[in-house]
Amino acid sequence: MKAKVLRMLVLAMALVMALGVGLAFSACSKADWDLKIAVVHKEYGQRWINALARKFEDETGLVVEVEANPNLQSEIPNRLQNGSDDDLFFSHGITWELFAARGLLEPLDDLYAMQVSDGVTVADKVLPQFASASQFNGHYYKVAWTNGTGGLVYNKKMFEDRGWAVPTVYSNPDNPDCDPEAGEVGLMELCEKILADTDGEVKPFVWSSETYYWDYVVFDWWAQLAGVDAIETYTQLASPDVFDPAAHPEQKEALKAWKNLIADHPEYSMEDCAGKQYTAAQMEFVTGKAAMIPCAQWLESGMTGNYDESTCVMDIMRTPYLDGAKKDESGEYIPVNYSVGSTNSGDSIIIPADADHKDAAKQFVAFMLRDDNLKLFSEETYGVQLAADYSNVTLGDDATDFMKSVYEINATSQKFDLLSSALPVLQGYLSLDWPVEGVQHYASLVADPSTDIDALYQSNYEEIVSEWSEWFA
Amino acid sequence: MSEAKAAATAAEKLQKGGQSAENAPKRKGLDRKKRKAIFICVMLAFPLVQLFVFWFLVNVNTVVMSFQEFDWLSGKYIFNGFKNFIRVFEEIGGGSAVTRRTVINSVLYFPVTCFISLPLSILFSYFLYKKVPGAAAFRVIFFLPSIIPVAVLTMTFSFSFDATLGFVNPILRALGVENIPSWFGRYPNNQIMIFAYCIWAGLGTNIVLISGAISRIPVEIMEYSKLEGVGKARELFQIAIPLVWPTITTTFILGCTSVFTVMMQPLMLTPSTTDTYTIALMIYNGVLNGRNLPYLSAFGLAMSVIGVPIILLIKWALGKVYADVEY
Repeated sequence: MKAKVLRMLVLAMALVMALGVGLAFSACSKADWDLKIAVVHKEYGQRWINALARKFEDETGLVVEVEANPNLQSEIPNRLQNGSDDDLFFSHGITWELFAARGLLEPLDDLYAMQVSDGVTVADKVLPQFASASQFNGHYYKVAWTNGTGGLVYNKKMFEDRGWAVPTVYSNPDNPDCDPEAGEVGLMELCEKILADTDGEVKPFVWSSETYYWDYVVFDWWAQLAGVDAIETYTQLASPDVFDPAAHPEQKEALKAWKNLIADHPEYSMEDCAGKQYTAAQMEFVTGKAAMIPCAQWLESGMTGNYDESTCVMDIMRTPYLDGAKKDESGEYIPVNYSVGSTNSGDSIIIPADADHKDAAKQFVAFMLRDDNLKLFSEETYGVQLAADYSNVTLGDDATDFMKSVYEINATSQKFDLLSSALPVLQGYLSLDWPVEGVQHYASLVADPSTDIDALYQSNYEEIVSEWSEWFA
Repeated sequence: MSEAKAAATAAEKLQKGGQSAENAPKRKGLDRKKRKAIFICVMLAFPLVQLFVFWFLVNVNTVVMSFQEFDWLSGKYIFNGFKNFIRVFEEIGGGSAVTRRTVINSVLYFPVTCFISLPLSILFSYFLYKKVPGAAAFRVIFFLPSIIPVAVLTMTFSFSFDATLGFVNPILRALGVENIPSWFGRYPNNQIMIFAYCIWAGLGTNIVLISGAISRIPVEIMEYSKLEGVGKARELFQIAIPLVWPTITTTFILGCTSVFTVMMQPLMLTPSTTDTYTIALMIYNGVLNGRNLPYLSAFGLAMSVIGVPIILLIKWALGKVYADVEY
């Protein structure tokens, strides 16, 4: 009897193993599709890729398989090295330069020459700063995915109900660029007004322990002071002097402005924001406990269905101008906006070197950059934009205020990023957002507002100088 | 039942079926010994292949990579001697505040796990064994964190301490506490909170292991000690603990390895600060960024080279405390 049970058990195990092996083989076998797209499934959701894939199928007759995977970023290295059935990847944080150097990526020079529409090539359609940052050793290896827009998201309904103006400048009632008669207001003054009008019930800001969301504001201030050309020079890392706070004080000054707003005025923020979870901060914002939150273009899509529009209607403001921000020849401030998610390698679209359907993959990318599909992408992601020229794209009537603002900021700003292919960045010694060991200073400034920012930047610079020759050895 | 007896019974059964034992047909094919060997091979094949691929090859690759660097011109990993290891020790020695703090944080998990969490687990296990009032409920309460996904649990934990949404601060205020600290917003508070979480969430598994071991102690021994008038403290420290020492040793060693393995807790509770980095989290984030894998390999290997002998020494020392007892 025992032997019989044992035999049956072994047989069952063998069957299970055979089934597993069979399933594995069937998954590995050539599938019945013409294009397999793997997309990281995070802030932007997957509606956009489903919509684009179905439309592509309708137009070309090709069968598209879509995989939306939240863990894709960490899986891409293995899939590229060990082979997979993927033809096209969309993800954040792909270290594409490393893969390109190892020959794991398909060169995309021919894709950039492909026609998107009559007389317009992919190279024409991709925004220039993203195209130039997609080259390695003289060849294109990626197409930038999104052109992120960050800044201060505010509760538009609350602002309208209370009669608060959206701030245009950082501070200073005497600032000639701020006209109180016309209802204009500085950010610092707005914070005081919010506290006064609500008896402190509503705080100007809520933010979370994920303090990098403040980068979207602080980097805008940095670029306002330095200009986007200076940022471009900074990313090239020609010498350690680009970090010299005496010669280039703008980043330091931007952080000082943040410190003045947040660390030196704890009453402007909800209690213990530095210890708050990101979701908790979002909840406080949509329930009207705070008027503004530092965030980016995905907040509305990320919160859809999770808040009451009678309490909160989201909008995003252009980052208020700091005193000393650069102006154009006509004396107007030059609008700038940091492309969110564009540090290190940024958001990327890549094709594996051993993909089975490279031509279809390239065809899909060119298709995606067509104006009607740029619009479709933005509609399906509640305002997120591809890293492409949207000048011929008009949003539909059902676009929200938030979507319109994202579109307007992107369309009218000088966009900048912190993408770099300099060796210390590629080797992980330096991160251009927070150069020394990637340490952000926001939480430490809140914990200790007496921190000397000048000394901090000087010490960082000296450390970089001492290591520089070794990094480039 | 002896083999002879079993054979006789089998023969009897066959005879009853109208067929003599001598006339029974012989089994065709492989003999029992060979079939047994094949069976063992089949059962071992999968785990051995898995061990070879996912442990041996991976670790060999890690060791090799720790002596390499990526050459951006050739697109290949090239040998660079001990450069990565020198950098690791330079950074731990003071070259990098983040690395130094990472190592310190990680090492602190040893006392937290072994000298706070483990003794608490032993104590609670003993109380559960002694069936204190509400023991069944406490067993569920203690084990509950072990079966809830870590993402949910960390969220619940940190929300509890949220300054405006949580329940802890209002209670403290009601008790008259002023200047409530930022629980997760600054160092070392955030690190202490992670330790607290680890103790809270880690009790369940330890209690299951240790209370299972204590419940196997023969009742006669406990009854005898009771008749001899042994008090509860003495029963715990001089009878229960020595008898379950092998289980405690195992749990202690697992606690030691937490120095190298804790990752999810700081990742989920303090997602964007380097203040609460651990060795595992630093390597995880580094691998995710994919920027300097050889250095990370060297870092992991260096930590193992230092840690493994210490853990083996602890294991050896713990084995000397009490003699193994069979019961």
